[in-house]
Amino acid sequence: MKAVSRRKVLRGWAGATLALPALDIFEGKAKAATKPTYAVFVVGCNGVVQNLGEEPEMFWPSTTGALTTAKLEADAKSRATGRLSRFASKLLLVRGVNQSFLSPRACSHTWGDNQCLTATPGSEDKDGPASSLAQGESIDHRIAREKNANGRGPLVLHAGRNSTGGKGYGNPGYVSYKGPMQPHSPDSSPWAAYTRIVGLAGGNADALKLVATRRKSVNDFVRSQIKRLQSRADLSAEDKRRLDAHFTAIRDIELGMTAGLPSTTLKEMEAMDGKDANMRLKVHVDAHRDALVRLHMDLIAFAFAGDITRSASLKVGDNNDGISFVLDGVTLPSFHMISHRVMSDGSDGDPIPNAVETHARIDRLLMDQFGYLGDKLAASTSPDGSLLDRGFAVWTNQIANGAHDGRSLPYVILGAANGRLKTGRFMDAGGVSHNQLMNALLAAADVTKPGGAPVDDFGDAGLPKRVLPDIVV
Amino acid sequence: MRAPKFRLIVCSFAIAVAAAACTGKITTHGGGEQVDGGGGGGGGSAGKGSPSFEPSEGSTDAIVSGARFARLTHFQWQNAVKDLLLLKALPAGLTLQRDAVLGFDNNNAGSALDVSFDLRGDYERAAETIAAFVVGDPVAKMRLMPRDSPTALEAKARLVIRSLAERAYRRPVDAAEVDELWNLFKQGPNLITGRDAFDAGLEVVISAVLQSPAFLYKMELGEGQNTGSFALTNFEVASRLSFALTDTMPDDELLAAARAGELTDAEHIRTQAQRLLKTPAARASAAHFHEQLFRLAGLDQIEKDVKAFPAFDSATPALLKEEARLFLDHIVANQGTPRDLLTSSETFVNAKLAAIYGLSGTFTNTFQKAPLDPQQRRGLLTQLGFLAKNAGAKDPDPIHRGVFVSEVILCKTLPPPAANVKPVPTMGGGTNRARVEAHTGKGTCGATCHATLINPLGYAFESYDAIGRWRTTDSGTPVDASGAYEELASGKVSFDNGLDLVEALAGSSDYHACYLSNWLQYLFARGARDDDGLALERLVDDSLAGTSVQESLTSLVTNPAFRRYLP
Repeated sequence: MKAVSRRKVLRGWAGATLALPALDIFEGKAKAATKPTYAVFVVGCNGVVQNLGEEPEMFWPSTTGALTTAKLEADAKSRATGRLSRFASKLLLVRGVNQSFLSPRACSHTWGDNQCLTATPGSEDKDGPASSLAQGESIDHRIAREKNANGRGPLVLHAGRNSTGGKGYGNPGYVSYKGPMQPHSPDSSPWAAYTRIVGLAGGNADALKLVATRRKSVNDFVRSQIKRLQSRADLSAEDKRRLDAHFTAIRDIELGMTAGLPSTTLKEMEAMDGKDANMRLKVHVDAHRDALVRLHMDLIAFAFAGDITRSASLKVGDNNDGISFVLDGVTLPSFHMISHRVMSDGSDGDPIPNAVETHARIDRLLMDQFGYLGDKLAASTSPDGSLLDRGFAVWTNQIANGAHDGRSLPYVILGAANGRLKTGRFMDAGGVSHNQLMNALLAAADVTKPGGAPVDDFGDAGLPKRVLPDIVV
Repeated sequence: MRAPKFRLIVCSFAIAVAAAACTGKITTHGGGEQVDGGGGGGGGSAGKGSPSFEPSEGSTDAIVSGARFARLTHFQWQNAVKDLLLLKALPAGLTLQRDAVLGFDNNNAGSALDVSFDLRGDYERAAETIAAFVVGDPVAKMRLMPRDSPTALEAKARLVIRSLAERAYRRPVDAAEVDELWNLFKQGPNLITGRDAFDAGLEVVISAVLQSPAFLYKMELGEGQNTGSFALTNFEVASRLSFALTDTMPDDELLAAARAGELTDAEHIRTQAQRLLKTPAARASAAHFHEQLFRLAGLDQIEKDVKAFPAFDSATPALLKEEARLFLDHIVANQGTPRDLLTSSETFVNAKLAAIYGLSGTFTNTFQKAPLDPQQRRGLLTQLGFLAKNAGAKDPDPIHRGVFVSEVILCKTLPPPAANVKPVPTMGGGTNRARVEAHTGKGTCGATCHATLINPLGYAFESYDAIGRWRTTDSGTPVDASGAYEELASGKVSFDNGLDLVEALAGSSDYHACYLSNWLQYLFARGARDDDGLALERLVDDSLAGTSVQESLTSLVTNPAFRRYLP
């Protein structure tokens, strides 16, 4: 062995380090906004039944152009989006938007989750094909970072079989990311999320006050310790940033919160937080899925109404969605197998009879769930209009159809975003990469570049810097 | 059965690498993103702010420190809470917001380990739950009472407070610090219902101490005010040493050594390090390191074609992980060397794994040490976990095997694959090697990377099938596991099979430098630095000459740089 060559190798460590992602930007900053806009992203699994060459069209309306209640109603039996006919004037359907990264290098479900809200490719599957992680911040985090007060993150929720924090095929289908490789572990329990929001677990007013007082005392102690550290003259900029972030994260309980949830809803949330007769966590049991999704949607409307957060995301399903739905009293095979059309999570297996029609029925059920969110947002009114006037909800999917296609992802956008969205329409974007729609949705959420110019560079730096036209006014 | 209607892209992909600009690049910790150490304020590369510190003991080493306020990892937090409160287990149901993935989990680069809004809330709830748990359990509470506690409430409280705070903060506390906790203690009865005054006070104090920055951060401040490079205090050295080697707070003996001012020279630190390395905590810490380095978490996810491999069922992946854990622990705990990790023919099996290995003898469900045939098996890369994980459902995956060897064993990263590559066909005639070669080898667009940097390292393991069983033929043809690899510092190495390659790797400075540089990052709690290679030069020589892993770790922590903060 030649010492010289090895020394060269050792020196060659230069270049070993990659540039650090600009993580500092994720520090939340409170920003004033004249008229808050609220945005929620619901992400489903396993694709929808649409005509991408081989299967019938059972999702989109019959024709593009203006949407009317009558037109959607006529489609309601055979096309899933028809189920949202009551929202015709506030609906914007966008077909022809493709995954920004079409060639999966990981499990294609995970690959879809990776990019759907981040517009970044997944990482190499270092721990297995389903362990790929996104390489950038997701849109719910971006909106929260720019618009939330007090550095609070988005509300990140999950309704699926897998526990949050799970990895590999046991992952809950991470779609929300604080930054590159930083998945946000969602709350599966709306009760846990609710108690996190209000700062304690239920209780009456006296108990709340006691906990609030105790936490304030401890917080004062922690704050004074951090302040002493912050006052040192020998801190680097990085030391200061870290201590500031910690200091800013300390919050006393917000006793003044006014927008409440009905006590019946709270009781349902609390009941959902427990285990069933088989000692399984209810939130991960198929039979509770529909109720769970709806409770999450109640919580989202509550969080928006109280201006607790300006953005939220909800993943329905996991890495894929293996739920067995019960339709008309019949327990179906796993949704994932139905989406594959065979009795298998892979490609080999006995065919499932009527799989396409069954998948389409599930799509309609999922649109009904999404419609529930629309109803909740519409029911929350203020002098500036309902939450449906002031915000928007997006329903999309990790993949486009059961064949794992990344082309023509479903985008169902519901809400006016304070008049910014051009609603009442079904448009075909003609096959653009989805980062362009993300840029448009950031504009709808009133997020701009620092100088006020529209954001055109959300997601991966290599993507075309364009904003999909005809989305915002 | 029938052909599926769609050509489904199932969740398993071969990778292929872009032909353009394909050169291997040395890196560290293949487990994730490589980032710069956080101490200097983020993304700078090494070399900036050249250190003013010249070590005084004749060494040319100048190993840069991690963050000055290094937040405990969740692993360290759990260990430290248990050790602080003398608990065997924490109460159930605690959750902490998952941290970012930036190489090793203790890399405090950038904002990866910041205390975010959500994590702060998690700490708060966890602290309250733990405090209530401890105070509600008379036995647990008694363990925290210093011997000969006075009976008067204030005197007793102050004694407990001092004892708890000194251990939580891992340093002496002054009167003012005791006072501020006593003030909190006094408020106890107004803040907690259903407890007597002492218990209420104690519960609030435990909750507060667990949320204190002095507990949550491994702080390195030195004496007085310091900028640039400075000497750590004895207690800071104790914490650095303890968290580096055991991923938890210093034990009583180490704190006593700090109190006696002994942690200022290499010999005392060597004594402490050698003592700590024998503890269960150090073994757990090394296991935690190896799990990340060798990507053992992924072993849980292995799935195989049950028809082709009935011996490999859903219980097998966890066993593979256990085998790797026991093997790595055995080597390191018994003064083994990095070379042993790659060349030892001993492993640990239970009956199920013994059957896959084809071992004869009596085995049970319990793991036991077993010799393997050295003509077939030598070290980690010939064990079932690596082989089965880096394989498809039916066939070995030389591409992923090669990538693992390049990135994890040799710290040579590879450029990402091109965006539009197709998976290697799993059907069709010929051998597995021939199919991979036709798809990615010479004459294809993958020739630049695959043919030289990846495939040869993977073909070497073609003698092991998709679940790691030894084989001599593939599709009726004798297995060809030969090849050549040109990227080692010593030049080109040609090999007939995996054992040849393993021996060449085990004798290469590239591997020893890679393995030790990963340890250096872990012990210094930071990401890779450009200058780490030079700092390791002597250690790599010693390691090649047979120095044990433990001795190399001891060398790193007795380096003068380990007793200083070096930005």
